[in-house]
Amino acid sequence: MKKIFNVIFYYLQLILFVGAFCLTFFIMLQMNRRLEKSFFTTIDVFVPFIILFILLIINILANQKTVKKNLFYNITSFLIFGTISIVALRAIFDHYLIMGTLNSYQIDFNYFANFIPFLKIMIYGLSLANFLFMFHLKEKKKQ
Amino acid sequence: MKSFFVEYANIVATTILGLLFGLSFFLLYVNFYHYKEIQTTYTPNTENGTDYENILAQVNEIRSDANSYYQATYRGQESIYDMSGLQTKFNSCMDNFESEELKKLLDKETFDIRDVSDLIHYYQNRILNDCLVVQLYNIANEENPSIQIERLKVLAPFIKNEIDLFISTGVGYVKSNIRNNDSYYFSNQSAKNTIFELTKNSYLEIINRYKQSLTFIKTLSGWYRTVAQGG
Repeated sequence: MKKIFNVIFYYLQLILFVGAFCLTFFIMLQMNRRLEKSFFTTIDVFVPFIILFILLIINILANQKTVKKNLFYNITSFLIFGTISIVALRAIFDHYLIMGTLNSYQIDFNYFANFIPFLKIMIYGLSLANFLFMFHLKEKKKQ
Repeated sequence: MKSFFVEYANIVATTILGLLFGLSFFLLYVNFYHYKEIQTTYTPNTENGTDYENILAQVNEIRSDANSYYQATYRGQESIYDMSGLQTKFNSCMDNFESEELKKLLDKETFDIRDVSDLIHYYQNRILNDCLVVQLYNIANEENPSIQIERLKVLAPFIKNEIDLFISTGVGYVKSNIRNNDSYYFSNQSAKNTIFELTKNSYLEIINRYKQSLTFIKTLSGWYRTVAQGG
C-alpha cells in the first residue's frame, strides 16, 4: 500500500511542479508586462524553482531512493505544489477578487504578490530537505 | 561519526518537511476559507419595499416636480427657455436612475461583492458625474451660469457645497475596502454583527449614497416646482 501511495504522490508532485511553475511564470509575465518592467527583475521568484529542478534531476539520475521513495517528502511536495497551483488559479479565475476584475488582464496581481514570500519559503525549504535526504549510509552487504 | 551526521541531517530534513506540511496546509485552509468568505451574499430587508422601488418612488416625485412646469401656461417672471432648460436637466438626471443598467444591478433579491462593485462604478459614472456634475453643478456657477434664473442665485452656494461634498466624500472608502478583499482576513459571526461585514456594509453604504443624491435633487426639484407654479 505504501509503495502504491509513494508512486502516486511521486508522479503527482512532478506534474504539479510543472503546473505550478507554468502558472507562476504566466502570472509574473503578465504582471511585468502591465508594469512595463523587464522580466529579469522577477528572476528571484524562479530561483527556488530552478534549484529544486536541478535537485529533482539529480534524484532521477542518481536514483536516490531516500528521496524518491520517501512518502512524507512526496506528500509534502504534492501539497506544496498543489497550494501554489490553487493560489495561481484563484488569482486568474476567481471573479470575486474585485481587483482582478478591474484591470484589463483579469488577474489579481496583488493577491498573488502577497503569496510570493510563502512560495519562496516552501520551495527553498523543500530544496533543503531534498538535499539533506541525499545523505544516507550505504546499506551493508549481507555476507 | 558519519552515521551521526547522516541521522542528524535526516532529522533536520524531516523537521523542515513537517513545518512545510503545516504551512502549506494552513495556506490551503486559509484560501478555502477566504474563497467562501468573499462569496458571501447579502439579502436586503424588503419590509418597506426593495431599495430599487424606493429609489423609483423618489424618482417619480422628482419627475413630477420637474414636469409641473408647462411652458404654455407659465405666468412667472423667469425666462421660459431657462425654465425649460432646468426641466430638461432634471429629467436627464432621472434618466440615469431609471436606466435598464441600474435596474439590472439593483432589481435583485441578493447581492454579492461584484454587484456592489458594479453599483459603485455606476454611481461614480452616471450619478455623480453625468447627473450631479454635468447637469446640476454648472447651474450654480455664479460667473457664467448655464441657467439664468434670478432666484437660483440664492440657491447656488447650497448646490455648489452639496455637490462638492458628494465629490469629496465620494465612494473612496467603500471602493478601497472592496478592492482589498483579496487580503486574507478572518471574520466570525460576532465580528460581522458588531464591527464590519464587507458585502453588507459596502452595499448599505452605496445605497445610502444613491438615496442621498436623490434627496438633494428632490430639494432642488421642490424649489423648482415652487418657481414653476409662480411662487
